[in-house]
Order: sequence, then C-alpha cells, then structure tokens
Amino acid sequence: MLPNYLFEPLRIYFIEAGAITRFAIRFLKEVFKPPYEFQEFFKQCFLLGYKTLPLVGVTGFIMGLVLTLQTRPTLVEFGAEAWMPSMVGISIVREIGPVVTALICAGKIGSSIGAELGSMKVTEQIDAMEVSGTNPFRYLIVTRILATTIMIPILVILADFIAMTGSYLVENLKGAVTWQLYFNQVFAHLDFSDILPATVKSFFFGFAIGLVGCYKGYKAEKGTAGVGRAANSAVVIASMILFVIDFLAVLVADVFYEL
Amino acid sequence: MKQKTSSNFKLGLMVTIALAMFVVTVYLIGSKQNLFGNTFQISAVFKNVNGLQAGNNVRFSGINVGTVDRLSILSDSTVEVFMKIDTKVRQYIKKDALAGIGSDGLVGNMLINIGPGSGDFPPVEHMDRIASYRRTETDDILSTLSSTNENIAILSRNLLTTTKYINEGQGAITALLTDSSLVGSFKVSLSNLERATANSANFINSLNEIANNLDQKDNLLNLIASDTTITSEMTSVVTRLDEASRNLHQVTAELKEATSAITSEDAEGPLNALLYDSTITNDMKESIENIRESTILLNENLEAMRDHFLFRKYFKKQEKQQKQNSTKNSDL
Repeated sequence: MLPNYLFEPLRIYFIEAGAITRFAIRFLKEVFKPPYEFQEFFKQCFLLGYKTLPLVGVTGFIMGLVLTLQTRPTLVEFGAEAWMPSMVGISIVREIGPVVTALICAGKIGSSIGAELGSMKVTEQIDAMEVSGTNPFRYLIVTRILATTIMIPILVILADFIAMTGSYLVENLKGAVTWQLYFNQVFAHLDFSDILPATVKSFFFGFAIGLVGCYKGYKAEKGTAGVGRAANSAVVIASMILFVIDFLAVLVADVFYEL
Repeated sequence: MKQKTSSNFKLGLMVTIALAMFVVTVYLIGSKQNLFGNTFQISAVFKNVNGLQAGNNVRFSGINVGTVDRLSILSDSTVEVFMKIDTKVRQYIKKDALAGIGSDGLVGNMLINIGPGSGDFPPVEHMDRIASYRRTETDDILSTLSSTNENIAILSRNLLTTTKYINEGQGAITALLTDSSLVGSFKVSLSNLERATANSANFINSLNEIANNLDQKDNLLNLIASDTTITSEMTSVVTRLDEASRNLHQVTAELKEATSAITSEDAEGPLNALLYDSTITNDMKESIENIRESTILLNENLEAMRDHFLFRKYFKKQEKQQKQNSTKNSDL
C-alpha cells in the first residue's frame, strides 16, 4: 500500500477529477435543454471576452515583439532572416497564441468566475435562485462555460493577429520588410494543419477555463475564505489542465496531419 | 438598455472582426492549395520522389501554379505524381514540358518544377502525363566529392613521398635547394641568357635594317620582287640554264662512256694501246730515237745539198728574197 503522504493527495486528486467530470457531464446535459439564457450568455460573452481583449491584445503584441526580437539575431547569423515571418507566424498560430491567451484568460476569467460564483455560493444567492424557481446551473454555469468556450477562440484569433502585427513592427524597423511581404511570407507557410488544430484546441481551452472556474466557484465552502481559495484553485487547476489539453491536442493533430 | 445595446455592439464587432480574420486566413491557405479556383490535373512519372508529399507546391518557371494532389505507386521502380494546376496557366504548359523534383532552398520543402519543353507543342490537356527528368541528388554530389577526396589523398601521398626525398637529400630538386655551386651556375646561366637575349635583340634589329633596305626601290631583291617583267626573263634564263645543264649532262655521259671505252682492259683501240700497252711504248720510243737519228742524218744531207752545184743557185736566190722582205719591214 502507498504511504499516507502519497495516498491522501492522490485520493483528493481522484475525488476532484471525478467531481469535475460529473460537473462537465451535468453541463453537457443542461446545455441543450431549453429555455436558453441568451441574455445572460451574451452578457457573459461581453464581460469575459470583450473585457479581456485589451489584456490579451497588449500581451499578444508584446509576445510578437519579444519573440521576433529574440529570434532575429540567430536567424541573421545564419542569413535566414527571410524566414522570420513564416517562423513567427507558425509559432504564434500553432502554439504561443492559443496557450498564452488561454493562460491569461485562465488567470483573469477563471479567477473572476471562481470568485463571483464562490461569493454567490457563500452568500447563499445560488440557494435563493433555486428557491425562486430559477435553475442556477443553467443560468450561471451553462452561460459562463459556453461564453468562455466561444470567446477564447475568438480572443486567440485576435491575439494571433495582434502578435503578428507586433512582429511585423520589429521586422519593418530592423529589416525594412513591407506589410504585404510580411503577411505573404506568413501565409505562404501556414497550412490548415496549423490553423485547425489550434482553433479546435482553443475551444477546449475555453471550455476547461469556464468549467474549472464555475466548478470551483459553485462548490465553494467555508465562508469568505472559501471564495479566495476557489478563485486561486480555479486559476491553478485551469492552467494545469490547459497544458494537458495542449499536449493531447498536439498528439491528436500529429495523428491527423503528421506535424 | 443603452448600456446593453452598447455592450452588444462592442461584442458583435469583436466577434465579427475575429471571424473575418479566420475566414480570410482559411481563404488564403485554401487558395494557396487551389481549393477555390478552377484547376485541371496532369501527372508525371518519377523513379524517386525524394519525400514529395501531397500538398507540396508545383512551380512553372518559378511561379507557384498548383499543388501535388496525390502520389500513386505504379511499379517497383516508378511513382506517378498527380498535380492540380491552375487553369489560367494551362495555355503556357505545353505537352513536351518537363517535370522535375526539387526543393525550396537548401533545407526547404520538396516541390515539383515544371519547365518548358524545346518544341512547339500544343498546351497540355486534363489528365495528360508529361515527361520528367531526374535531378542531381545529394548522393551524386557526395559520390563526386568522394572520388575527388580519393584523388586528393593520392596527391598528398605523392607529395609526401616527394617531400621525403627532398628532406633526405635525394634528387635534383634537393641539389637545387642545397648546392650553393648550382646557384652560382644558375646565376652564370642567367647572365648568359641575358647576354643571349641582348644579342638576339641586336640580331633582330639588324634583320629589321636588312628588311628596311630590301624595301628600298633601287635594291635588286626589291626589283625582283616588284618588277613583273623580270619574272619572264628569269624564267627564260632558268629554262636555258636547264637546257645547258641537260646538254652538259649528255656530254659528260658521252665522255664517261668514251673514257670507259679507252680505260677498259678489254678495249682494243689505239688510245687504249697507247695508254696500257708497254711494248708499243717501247716501240714508240725506239721509233722516235730512229726518227731523231734520221733527222740528224737528213740535216747533214741537206747541208751537203746546199753546197752542191745543182742546188746552190736556188738557195742564194732564197736568201736574197728574205733580205728584201726584212728591209721593207724596217722601212714601214
């Protein structure tokens, strides 16, 4: 048998994994059931998507700048600076754009959902909704998870474009590359095998962020301290799950596209 | 309500922009792979496709005009590559066009290069099969490099042997490097060569002067060279000289024949007898002796006749005639 210091964390891990899975199954059951809470869904899309755009935009822009600035000297050394647009384009579209955007969203959105739902839970607002005949799961959880699932891919697309604009800025200043040439180079080497897996995994990233944030907030306990824990653990678990999903996505994409 | 409308507008704008970007990206990638335009299909057969894959670019005269659609193994040594080409360029690809497998840069993706043929052929049709050519592969280059390396190794071995001989003091090169007397001889040779060169220069100058003199009009050789009438005269002279030499030759031959006739031991002529018969010589000597003695006796008889009375008158008359003639000559 395993020692206690290993057994207890493992037990907690499996309980949490099972609970989150049950939570996800419940979401999948509720999502197709009317009535649909469109107003709340669009509200959450605005709050979780649009409000996060400035943060994602600035991060993406700096990401493109830094990536180009740090990679350029090496490529110049080999006389391969002409490959910079395609290399940065593929890096951003395939991996950096989706993962960094998802991590930022996990930090901002995951924590906000966890904190919001946690505070509603500890202040018994959710119980009050149940009493008033409103399905809190459908109204609070389904709309938020759907909002993150839809909005994260959109944020990723925008972040990719902003990051490539940042990269273009460096290329233009250092190498006098035109806008048309830069994006011709980027699209000359981009393929469906780059776009489709990245887009699909962005949906899963959004789903995971919403799911973990909602689960942690919905299951928050023990007063206001539980709200903080819910927000914190939502970010930590969501971030970890993002990397697991990313790994699985690469494995699956490799099977289909031979990356 | 106003705030709700505003938030909806912002959200809609953001989603629309993102979706537009996604659609544009998909369209650009799709058009690169000829998913949206009109295309036709041609194929080419290769022995080795060097890792070519479906989706790789097809270039015509360096321009991307299509993509590789699929590859099909025909036999154990041939692979057929089907290409999707933009219909717009069909008119430029003739039936004798050649397809070759290349790469985009040194480490780039594989691609197919279609080059124009040499003849005036009609454009290719859908599902035509064009000819292919084999490109120079890395293995070929390495093979050439390998043989070059072997040659270099042989050369370096030979050089090593030569250097060894030189270091050991063998051979003429070592002597040239170490023998100081050779240096002196070499210097002398160079000095001689320098003098010879100077003499050659003088000689050439002299030749130039002679040539200049020959160019003057009053010079004989110049006259011969320039006067056309002399040529015919010279021809005539030479002809006559030729005739004279022929005659001389004939005379010489006859003389030779006559001489041989005289000198031959079998000859029976008087000259031969005179030259070679000793008895005749003796007889002749004897005869000459007899003649001399007879002449003396005859002189004595003639002296006797002068004093004879029958002939005395005649001799006196003759003396008188002689005296008269001599007097006449002295007066003149």
